[in-house]
Amino acid sequence: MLKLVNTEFFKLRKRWMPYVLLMVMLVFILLPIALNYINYNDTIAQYPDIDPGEIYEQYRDSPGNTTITVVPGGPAPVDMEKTMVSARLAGWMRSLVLPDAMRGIFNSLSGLGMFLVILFSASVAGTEYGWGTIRQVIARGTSRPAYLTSKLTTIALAIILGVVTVLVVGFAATIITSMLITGSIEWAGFAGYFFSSFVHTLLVMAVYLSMAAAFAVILRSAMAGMAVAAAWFIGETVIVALLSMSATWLAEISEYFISYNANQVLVLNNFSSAGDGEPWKAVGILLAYIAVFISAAYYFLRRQDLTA
Amino acid sequence: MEGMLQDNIAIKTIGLTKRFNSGRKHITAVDNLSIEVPAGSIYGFLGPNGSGKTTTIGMLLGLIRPTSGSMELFGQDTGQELPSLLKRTSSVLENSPMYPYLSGRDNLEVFVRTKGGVDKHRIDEVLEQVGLQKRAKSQAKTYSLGMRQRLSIAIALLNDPELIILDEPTNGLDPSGIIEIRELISRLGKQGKTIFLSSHMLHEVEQVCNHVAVLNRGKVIAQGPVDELLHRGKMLQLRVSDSERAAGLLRQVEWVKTVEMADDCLFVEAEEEKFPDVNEVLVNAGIRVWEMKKSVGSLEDFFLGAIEEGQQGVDHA
Repeated sequence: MLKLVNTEFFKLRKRWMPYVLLMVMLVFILLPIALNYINYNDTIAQYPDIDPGEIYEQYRDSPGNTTITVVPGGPAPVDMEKTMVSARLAGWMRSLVLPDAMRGIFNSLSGLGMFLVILFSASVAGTEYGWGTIRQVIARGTSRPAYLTSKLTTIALAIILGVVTVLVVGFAATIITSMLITGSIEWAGFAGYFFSSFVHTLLVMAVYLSMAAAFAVILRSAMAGMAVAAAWFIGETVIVALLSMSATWLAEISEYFISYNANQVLVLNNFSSAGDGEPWKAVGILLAYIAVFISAAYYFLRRQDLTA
Repeated sequence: MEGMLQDNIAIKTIGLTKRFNSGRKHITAVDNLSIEVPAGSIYGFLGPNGSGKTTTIGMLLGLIRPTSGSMELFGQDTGQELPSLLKRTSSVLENSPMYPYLSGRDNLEVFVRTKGGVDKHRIDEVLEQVGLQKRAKSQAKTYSLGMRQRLSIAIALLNDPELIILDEPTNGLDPSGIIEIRELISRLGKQGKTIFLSSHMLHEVEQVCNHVAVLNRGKVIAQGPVDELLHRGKMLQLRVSDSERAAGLLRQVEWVKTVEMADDCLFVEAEEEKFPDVNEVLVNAGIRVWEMKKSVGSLEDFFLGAIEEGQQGVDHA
């Protein structure tokens, strides 16, 4: 198995696709940080009488999701413009100063990241059908379960590597912005938050990984796998939103969809709350989806005739 | 090697059948196929397009699930053991599948890594063997069909297999490439490897193979050693003054196996040492012999005859 995974990594690192997807993700997290920092600096320069230290002190003491309004110079008379500017500054601080800044990075991973996971997983699991190389590998004595296991393992490890890279780069960038803005970093509770958010994100990614890989195997095509998994990813979000609006039993059905349970888990990445659902139930449902998708992939691969 | 020593058969299929479902239709691609490929032989697998050759190879290599029947490789039932038995084989598959974004060398490295136990220096050896060393660093997607075929053959040679299964290995090759592959197959055969060669190129098969099977509509219609099938060394072609009387006379001779008339010629099947006696029988009976030579049947004639006979059998049924 190690040989197979090693071979899969050899094939993977020679493809351009993983690097492109990683670059897209990095741009997606670094660009907002850069733009927010530029905006923050411009605003500070424009309003020299606003004390960012005071804003930071108040914002730091406020709960994670609360919108804060800082009024410099006391409660009255209220200067509306400065109030709004202060609120904007506080918002930018949230995305630039650790530990809150990591939440934005985890949110990006939960949004675009999931979509990229679908593209990547379906591509790695499905392209060998198009090239016909799956026949070459199986004909040379690799068992089908071993082949699929090596694929899934490689995809999972590559995704973990990608997520770690994104987090390290994002972390490094926000260390810099934190130091530039506040001159110090608030580490209290950071490690626990970071680790739990990492695990939550990977769990949800594992669902989309297994879904995309399963459809690519079942449909014997990377493109078909991507299309179906992406349609599920987008379509389900819409359906869950519609069902949730219902006051009848339909709303309860939505609780068994992937996106609903993914949200229940990912909402834990926010400092503030554990959401209004049952996170362990959500974790159980997501694990059940993973088991179903992976079992289906193994089942269909075992039964397939690999014709030219 | 122990499997081969056990019963000296590299490939054996018993009643192998594959039916594909296409909507409501059932297409029988391979029908009750039973063949035996002797270890160390170069075995030609012949048949027109759609006769089931590639499907049979797919089943042997674990790519296609048989509907019924069984297979043995190296004397062992394939069942659950197929992946481990396939490690002792190599194959050149139809359409030469490979990783298009990898170079020729990297394609070989993929299979060296997958297989294990293969020295990386072997990559250079096989690249040289198939004449691809100059383009080894180019991406496979830039290769011509012939180059892809050479790379497939190189992949098949990587691990010094006991059995090599080749599905149309000369497809896309130019005449010199075809000769090289023919020589390579002969060389591998001389090294004691079993070669299972599916091909349309009857002339090529005739030159390298010592056993053949002819497949038509999924059924084997003839199989055996090439010399036996073509009656090589056993058929005498004659032109005589009275063909009909000569045929009647020879049919009564005990050691003459068959006598056939075609155009103005007689074809007499007998052991080679009896050929002078044929002449003697005819001359003693007052029949003048104008011409007498060994008849060398071609595989092409045999193939077309076998297909035609098979077709008639189907039509009568």
